[in-house]
Amino acid sequence: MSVPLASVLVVGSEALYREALCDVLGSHAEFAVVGQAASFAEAVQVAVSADPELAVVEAGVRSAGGKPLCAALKDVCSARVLVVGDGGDQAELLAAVEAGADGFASRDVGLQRLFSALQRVRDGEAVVPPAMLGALLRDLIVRNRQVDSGRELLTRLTRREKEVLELLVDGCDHEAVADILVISPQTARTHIQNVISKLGVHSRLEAVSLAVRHGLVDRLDRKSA
Amino acid sequence: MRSVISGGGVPQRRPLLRVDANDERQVLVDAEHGVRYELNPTALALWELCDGATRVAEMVEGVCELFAVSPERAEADVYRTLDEFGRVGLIDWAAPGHLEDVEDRARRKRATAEPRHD
Repeated sequence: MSVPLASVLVVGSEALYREALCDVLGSHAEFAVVGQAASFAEAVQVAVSADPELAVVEAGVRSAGGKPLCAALKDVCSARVLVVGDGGDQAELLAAVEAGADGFASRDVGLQRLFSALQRVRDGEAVVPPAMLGALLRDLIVRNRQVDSGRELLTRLTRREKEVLELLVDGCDHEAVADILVISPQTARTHIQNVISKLGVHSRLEAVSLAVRHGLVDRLDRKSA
Repeated sequence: MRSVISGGGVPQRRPLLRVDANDERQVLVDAEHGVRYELNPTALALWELCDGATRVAEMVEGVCELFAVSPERAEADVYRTLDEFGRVGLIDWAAPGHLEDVEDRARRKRATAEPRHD
């Protein structure tokens, strides 16, 4: 029984690699290339029009605003995404997983292993190079600990203190905080000191660093100044 | 083994085992007893997480997220793997008190650090 062809979008900035991959995928009995793209914008455009089942995406492709291409593709089509990147780069792998990638393959692997990875992604598997799996699981656990820790830290702050922390992350000093929140500079200083104390740090810089590191910024209700 | 897990025990891999792994195979080598254990990639990853500080619930959460499986399925798979590790002697179980001591020490260290002023 023949396997129906799976439609594939190929995204990569290097024309030679991208076009060569399109060629060999197009010759494979199980895949049909429905589009290729060299950039984020192009990839999204093709994904919207072609709605591919699969996408092979170069790692690190992001929008001007920093959104990973993988996440953008998940927004506009139903494709399962295989990210191809540096086999030794755990940070790249973690970023791909956090962006919703269904698989990650090293660009060092040969064509047969790439095909195998793409078949497994098509079949619903989560594909990760075995040698990178242990470190990836550990990275996810560490990140989850930071998220839990961040949640706990945020519960210590009042609503006003959360507003102040948000402004500190935006780069405001105590005078700017006072102006924006329509409070006295002394009151702003007090709020800042309370934030520092409750977060268990010793300076505004540490408070900002902790907020960013633990993802507290994403959980604050961001309002434009 | 389930009773140890439900009581909050934390798995600790035996230190005398050597990992011999690449993308094709994953083997734990017990040179002292001349025994080799061949693992699948996920089992090896779980064994490497058995560091005496990573809780089973954290492993379950990681597996659930990475493989997009239900929490029940992730829990069953992790428990089964750790049960097997314990059965063949690849891991020991540290008591919950050990983990709390590590965390308490970290908290005390932070609390006694010299304060700086902004």
